[in-house]
Amino acid sequence: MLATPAYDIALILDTGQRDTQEDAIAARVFDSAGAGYVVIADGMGGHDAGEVASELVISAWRDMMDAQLDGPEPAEGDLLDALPMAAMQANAAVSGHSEDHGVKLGSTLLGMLMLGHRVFWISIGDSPMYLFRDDHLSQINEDHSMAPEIDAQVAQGILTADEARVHPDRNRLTSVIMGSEIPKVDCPETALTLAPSDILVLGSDGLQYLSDPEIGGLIRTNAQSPARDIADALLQALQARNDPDQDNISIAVVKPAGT
Amino acid sequence: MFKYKSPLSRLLEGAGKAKEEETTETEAVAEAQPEQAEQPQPIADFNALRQALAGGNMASDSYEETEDLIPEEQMPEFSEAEKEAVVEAAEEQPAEEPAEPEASSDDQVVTLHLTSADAVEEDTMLAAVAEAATDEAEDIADAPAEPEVVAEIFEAPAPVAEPEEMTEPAPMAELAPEPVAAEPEEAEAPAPAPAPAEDRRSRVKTTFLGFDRADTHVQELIETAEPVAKTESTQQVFPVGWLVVTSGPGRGACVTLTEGLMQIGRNDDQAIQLDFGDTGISRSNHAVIAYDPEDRKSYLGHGGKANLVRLNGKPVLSTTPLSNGDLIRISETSIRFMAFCDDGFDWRDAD
Repeated sequence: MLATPAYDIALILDTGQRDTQEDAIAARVFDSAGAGYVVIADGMGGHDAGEVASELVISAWRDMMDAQLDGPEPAEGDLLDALPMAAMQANAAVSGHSEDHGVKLGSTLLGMLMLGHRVFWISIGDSPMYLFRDDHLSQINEDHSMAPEIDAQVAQGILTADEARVHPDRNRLTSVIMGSEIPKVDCPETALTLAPSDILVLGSDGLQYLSDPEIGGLIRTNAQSPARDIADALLQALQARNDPDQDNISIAVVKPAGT
Repeated sequence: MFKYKSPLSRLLEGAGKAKEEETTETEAVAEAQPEQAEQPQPIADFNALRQALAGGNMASDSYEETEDLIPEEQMPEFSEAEKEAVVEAAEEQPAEEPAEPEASSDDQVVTLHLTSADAVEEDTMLAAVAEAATDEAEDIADAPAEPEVVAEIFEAPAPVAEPEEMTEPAPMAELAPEPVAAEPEEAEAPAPAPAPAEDRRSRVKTTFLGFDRADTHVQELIETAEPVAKTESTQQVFPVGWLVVTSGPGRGACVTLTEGLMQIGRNDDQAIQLDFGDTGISRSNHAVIAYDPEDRKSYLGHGGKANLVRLNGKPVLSTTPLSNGDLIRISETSIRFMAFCDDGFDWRDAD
């Protein structure tokens, strides 16, 4: 962080139009190890449960990753194992809280580990991870919600695009950290290798009140700007939309340093 | 080779052959006798032919005996034998005819019933050719009449490769059946005509018998390998599958999976004990495998928040069905799963 930061990272957390902040976000860079991470959790559950769930996930991630990355010469195999281990620890923590307090709670986990220019991630739930490369935006993690299936029905002509957009099951998750089995986990074995001009955008689904083309356009406009300007442009666009239902907003923008 | 020669062919040899060949064949004939005696059909042939040929020279005592058992008067009743005898007689003529001039001319003898390639190969053989040529002729006559002889030839493929030199008469005698094989081979695969003689010979025989060469290394393995000693007493464990450690400490170890919840760990009490030195594996309950008879699948689960197990590289965060050949990794140990019970079989089926 001090001398030559390897990454340009900006984080934003906004409540949107909701009463409570159920998202949680964190990042840390380890200059000595040439590594860093970003983690986003989107909690859900009645009363305070959503906040608790996302906090449990973030702290489980931080405990696991910090212990690895702060250690002397962390082994890469251990670092990569730490991603699913963090998810398991988070799941156990959520399970414990659920049992202790008799509440149902859950959270997504989008955790990204950067080792030099290689990017690994674990994703459970519907928090999106975008790669902006060669003037093109694409979501690179799996979406564990019903949205992909509903969109597939549009492609098959079963639903219209408008029906799909407001489909009641659209945001129903097919995998989440809620203290029980985790049916789906996206944790690729092979790394994404960052090019100097690549831009990574991670978020909670509150970011997706903007369409993918809108997000891509805003990144394109600000591609040469620092990460915080890109993140700020995204937040301002969401606020300008002024959706009365605007969910909590988490945004992380990561650029390889020196661009 | 001569072992498998039918009595018929030996009769033909006796009837139409020059005396010099007798010496080369005596041994082979003697060997052949026990087998010949076991075959009922050739006996009939023998009798029919003996009549036709007016008493060829018999080398074997057993034939004298069988002759007694089957009186000559009854021969006409053996219509099959008669037919064959006729065939033999007919075949005998063309087969023998070339043999005669061969013996006298010594060169180009084989061309009369073989391809030019064979002739070229054998042109260089002088006295040996004369002997071989007649042998070949006999075998040609043999082949159509008694296919079972042909089928038996494959049992002695080893000598075929040996007579590469072809300078001695003895190897030539072994080669005798080869021309029989040559005819179909020429039709099917004309390309390797100028190939070395030894190549031709081994391959020629193979093609003719319809015997796949690819099998021979397996045959060799079975014939040459030492039997493995019995390793442990066989138990009726009713396996549902197996785990085999394929890399890491304990590579080569195998665990039989049975029904019920099987925990993976380093301790003695673990159903799947992986105590080969990988301390990254928990002592107890690092992962579990259980067979579900309902859907006939084995399932893999992780054993708690601190125990990571990967299936085909992906972390297992929920109970996941296993497929044949799946790779399980725990710490530095990689394990391959092989199913025994599946859609095709369950022990309940047998009840």
